[in-house]
Amino acid sequence: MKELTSAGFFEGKDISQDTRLRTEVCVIGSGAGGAVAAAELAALGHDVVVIEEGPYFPPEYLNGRDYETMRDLYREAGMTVAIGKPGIPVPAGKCVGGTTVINSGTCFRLPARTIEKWRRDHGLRDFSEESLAPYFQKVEEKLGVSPVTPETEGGVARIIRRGADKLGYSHHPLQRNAKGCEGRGTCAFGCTKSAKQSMLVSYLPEAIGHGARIFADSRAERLLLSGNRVFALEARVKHGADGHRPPRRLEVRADAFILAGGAMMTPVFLQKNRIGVRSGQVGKNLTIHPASKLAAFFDEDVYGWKGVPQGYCIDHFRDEGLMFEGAFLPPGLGSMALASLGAEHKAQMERYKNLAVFGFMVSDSSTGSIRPYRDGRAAIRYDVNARDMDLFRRGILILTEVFFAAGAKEVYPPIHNMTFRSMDEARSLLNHPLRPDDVEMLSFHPLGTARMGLDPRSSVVDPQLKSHEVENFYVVDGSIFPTSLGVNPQLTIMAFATRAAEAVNTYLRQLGSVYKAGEKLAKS
Amino acid sequence: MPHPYPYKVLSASEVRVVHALAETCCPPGQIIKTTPAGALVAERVDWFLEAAPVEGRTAFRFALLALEWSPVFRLLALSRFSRLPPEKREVQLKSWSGSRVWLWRNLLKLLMALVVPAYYADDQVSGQTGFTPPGGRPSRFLAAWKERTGS
Repeated sequence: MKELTSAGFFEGKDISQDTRLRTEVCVIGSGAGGAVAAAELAALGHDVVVIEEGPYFPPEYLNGRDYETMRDLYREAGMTVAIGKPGIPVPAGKCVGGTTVINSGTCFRLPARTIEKWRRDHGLRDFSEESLAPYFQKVEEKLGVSPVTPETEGGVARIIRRGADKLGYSHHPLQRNAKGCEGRGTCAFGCTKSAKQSMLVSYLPEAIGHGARIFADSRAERLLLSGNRVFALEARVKHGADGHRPPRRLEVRADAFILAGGAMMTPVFLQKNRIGVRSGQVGKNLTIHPASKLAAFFDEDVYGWKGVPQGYCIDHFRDEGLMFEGAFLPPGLGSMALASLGAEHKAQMERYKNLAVFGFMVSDSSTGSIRPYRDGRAAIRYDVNARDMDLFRRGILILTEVFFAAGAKEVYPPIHNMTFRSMDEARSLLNHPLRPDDVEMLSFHPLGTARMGLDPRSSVVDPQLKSHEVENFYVVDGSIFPTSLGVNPQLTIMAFATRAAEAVNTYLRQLGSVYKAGEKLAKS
Repeated sequence: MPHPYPYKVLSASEVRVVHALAETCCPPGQIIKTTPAGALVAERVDWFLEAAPVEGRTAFRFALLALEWSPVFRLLALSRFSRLPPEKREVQLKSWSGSRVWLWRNLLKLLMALVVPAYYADDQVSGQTGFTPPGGRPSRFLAAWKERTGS
């Protein structure tokens, strides 16, 4: 049995009985927000405990297989769906490292126009490109954020570059958090080389190096409050590999608490614990960057799986709210990109090496909401509005044009039973507004469900990400953003977590909860 | 001699529908010749569903039931889906996929989303498309399958 007072990863099987821990900082969630906050605070000398609901998969256990990874590392086996018009799958990670383990690794800084919008519409005048730059820079240096190299950008990037060049659209390799990437193409199913700098191989090991303890299989359930301070968290630990044995209770007493459950689970936890609910904003303002993809057949061999699946982008239409990014999948889940059936589908799959797939996402003005189901899962409600549907129609036409300009023979839009054999055919078939149910969508970036702001009546946390209602409670994940970002959010979440860690450190020092080397706190 | 695979979620009749659906969606091709049974599709789907939320499992099983009886109720045939010849099964699937009824389209989407990828997730099948499983790391499903069948 592992000693629970020493630094390291702990799984449910390591906790054989109900346990109480004492620490300075308790972080709930080990994804982009939680891991960064934990590592920063541990590096500043604080004693940190991280509570993670999902399992611990050591990097060497990731096999990059789509169907298996979906089952084991995705929340609800990848079956999480936003209910509405249309129903939109919202895959997210549920494992130590969170979604960073199964995302594409794309990194963007917060766009200037989004910052301007926050300053103008939400009064967040603390934020500017200059004031946030040091935090972005720190994360980028740590994670080796750099553009995808020509050797690993893959065959789809070659096609997109050719098509976008012909049409005069701006395009470039994406920035990613990867070191020594070989372009194995498994980013979304666990990097088999540990090149992608997910939290599992970057910030979390660093946090452990500074003494942090990370508990997997532990679901945060209840906060215990005294006045307007939280003094303990109760978690339920799945005990035993099969999870069938009775769960253990884990109580963590701490001076400060950081909630980083992601924009889907954070509002569920807040609503359950009645924190922030007076604002009326918990679970509201959900944006998700609804996305879609197109597939196209070429005479040439593309070998889309060789290279970084999301290594290239067309950013020409970013200010309109459209970002085009790579979206190739291995044959398992990739088989769903083709809408055909039976023998026709099989014949197309036999030409999989000739297939190119590219996607786009919409910076949404639609909003949705999240409330808890009785069993603690997130009930997501989201309808796509007419403005965003216009963007979908435009996105489909733009990408179709790029594919044909690059020499595609057939293009498959994300619209049922539709195939384009020429641009004229695409224009004539899409000469009317699309209905939400017409388009196959996906979403990877839930944001905004516990937004920050200055006014406690209209926001859940302040610009330091501290709760308006509870003195020692912070929220550090994608839920705090007041609007859609328009770009992949992981780097922004990490930068804000770095910034929030400074605020938590200041709070702890004011509190007198200062860790001194050699004076370990009583941990149990 | 390996034991039969002990299904944990799907019943015998549901396994029959999964097989029928997989055979219709993934018929023998020019290059990819592995059969759905050879690719352990039903076993893989069952293994996947073990980890799925209860609602997901229930919806999938409901979709199988609806598919199985749909030809009879829609008077397309006097036989259940799993007992139809492949060409009639394909007609049934196309009627769902092109249906104006949201429910039929989405039930089919759910079925296809688990069954078709289960076929192409098999190393032999994906290998026939030219794809190589990355990193050479072992399959967790195959390990479970071997353990459960004593192979």
